[in-house]
Amino acid sequence: GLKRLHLGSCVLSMNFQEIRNEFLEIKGYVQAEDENLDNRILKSSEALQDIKPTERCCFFHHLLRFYLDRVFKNYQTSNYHIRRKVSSIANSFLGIKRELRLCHDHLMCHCGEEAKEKYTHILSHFEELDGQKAVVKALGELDILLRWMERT
Amino acid sequence: APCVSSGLPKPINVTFSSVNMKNVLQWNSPEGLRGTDVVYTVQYLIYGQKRWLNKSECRNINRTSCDLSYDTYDHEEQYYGRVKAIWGKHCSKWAETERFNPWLETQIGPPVVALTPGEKSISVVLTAPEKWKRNAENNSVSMHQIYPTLKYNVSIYNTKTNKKWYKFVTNHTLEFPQLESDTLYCIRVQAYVPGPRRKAKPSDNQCITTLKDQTSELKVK
Amino acid sequence: DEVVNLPAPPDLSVHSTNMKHILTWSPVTIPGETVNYSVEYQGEYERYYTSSTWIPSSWCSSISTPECNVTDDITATVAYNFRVKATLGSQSSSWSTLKELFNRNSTVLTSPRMKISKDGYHLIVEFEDMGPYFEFNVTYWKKSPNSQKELYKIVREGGNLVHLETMEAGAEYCVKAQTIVEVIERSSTFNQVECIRAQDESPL
Repeated sequence: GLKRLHLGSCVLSMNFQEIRNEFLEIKGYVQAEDENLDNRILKSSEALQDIKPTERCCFFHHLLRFYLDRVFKNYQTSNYHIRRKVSSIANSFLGIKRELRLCHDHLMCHCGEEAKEKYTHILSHFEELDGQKAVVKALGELDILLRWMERT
Repeated sequence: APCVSSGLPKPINVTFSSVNMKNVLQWNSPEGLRGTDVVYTVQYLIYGQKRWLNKSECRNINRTSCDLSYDTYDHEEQYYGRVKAIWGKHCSKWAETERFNPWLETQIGPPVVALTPGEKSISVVLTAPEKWKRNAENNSVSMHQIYPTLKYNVSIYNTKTNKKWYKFVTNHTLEFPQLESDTLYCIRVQAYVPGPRRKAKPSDNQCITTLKDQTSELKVK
Repeated sequence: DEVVNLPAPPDLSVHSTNMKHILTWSPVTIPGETVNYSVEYQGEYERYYTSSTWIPSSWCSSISTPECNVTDDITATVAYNFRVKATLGSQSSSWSTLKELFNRNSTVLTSPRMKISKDGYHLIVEFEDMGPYFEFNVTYWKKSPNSQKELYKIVREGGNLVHLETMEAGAEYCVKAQTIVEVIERSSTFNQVECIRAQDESPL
């Protein structure tokens, strides 16, 4: 059912179950495409739940935009079933982003040094890999992101 | 001496079998090598780390499983396992698992169920399943701590009326009051975590008879 | 093929009840011919992030009936658009699209079908299985002249006999229920109240 995401004073309710079920349908396929097992984009050192509560909303907002702007839309596949599932997750993330805007409008999404620094690290892990390889790895790490969100 | 990677077929169906975070790598012997004295060697990798690591207890073994629970104990990490077949001087290529996420994929084992019959009631005490322990002396970690939303689906079957119904509970003690005396009831409990399709193993069916109705016994005497 | 002017299928609309979403349109009829249809969809993400790409529907590529179950395509609470084209041999019509976008939070929620029964003193309730989105808010009370204290319980899934309450001997209990769909944060109206009487004290 719905779960509460605690991002400092910003509290969102989101449907983990549906997103996770959709991810489980593509997990095997997408992770099998990722041949670089020896590195990670979402590293434990940048985990969402370990960030200061006051900066969690900003960090999460960056992560959400990262997936919406650079991952979902650039993932290429000829498999329509996979494409539908990615679309479903992307549209669900859009719903979360809309909720997050309410926090933004109520000035609960302060961006400090820690959020910016950690997001920069994640972006550099992503940009170390070349185009589609990076997109595939980021998509395959959605269960890491979902787990971070759950542990906030 | 290291074996020669030749055309030896790879092990097949390499997967993790996981119950309460006891994570066992298992596989089937490659086509055409069944019954021969083929042996296997196992390695594992923590996703995102540089090197595959040897599992010394699973070097040149002839069984087709290897317990990697100790090495995959941190259920917040993700892992790969791989195995290769060795026959004399020849060895196969590595056969790898999919990325294994213990937190998401482990199966929740059944709770321990203790039943106490009353005249017209049955009390049930549940003990949550425990996470696999590295050694016996360690403190137990209940699966309830790992999955705070863990619930129990308790079914009770009245053998006299042939009716079965369910109770969904979160606490560990419950009572079925107002039952029929001197009647055989069967109870089965399944621990489950609401969320993605996570497999769960129900407990065995445990049957117990409620006590005889003492008052009518006295009347008869 | 004789060139035929193939019109785009008109009157596209989505009919949605209890989170089952059916896309319908008026048929394109060409005497003596079977016209097929193909359906595609896009969510808000496709419209704003991927320059309006379209995705083939899960179940309706080249079908001959003017209707498509799009439930498996609509899996987020955002506005979706659909388009349909008619095909006849190698010829295709232009696409027709929805006049109004569809969001699943507009689905019609009907009150749940419910069956109450008893096993001795135990009040049991059972709901039809309405799918993974549905939970049931069950309200029940003991009928008595002076007090009518309502209790409630959430039943997480249909298709099972679920224990509601241990009844007092000979007392009458009443039950009503509504569905709850968390993903769209809505619930149905309550269904018809049903009552049942517990067995009397068992004779000594």
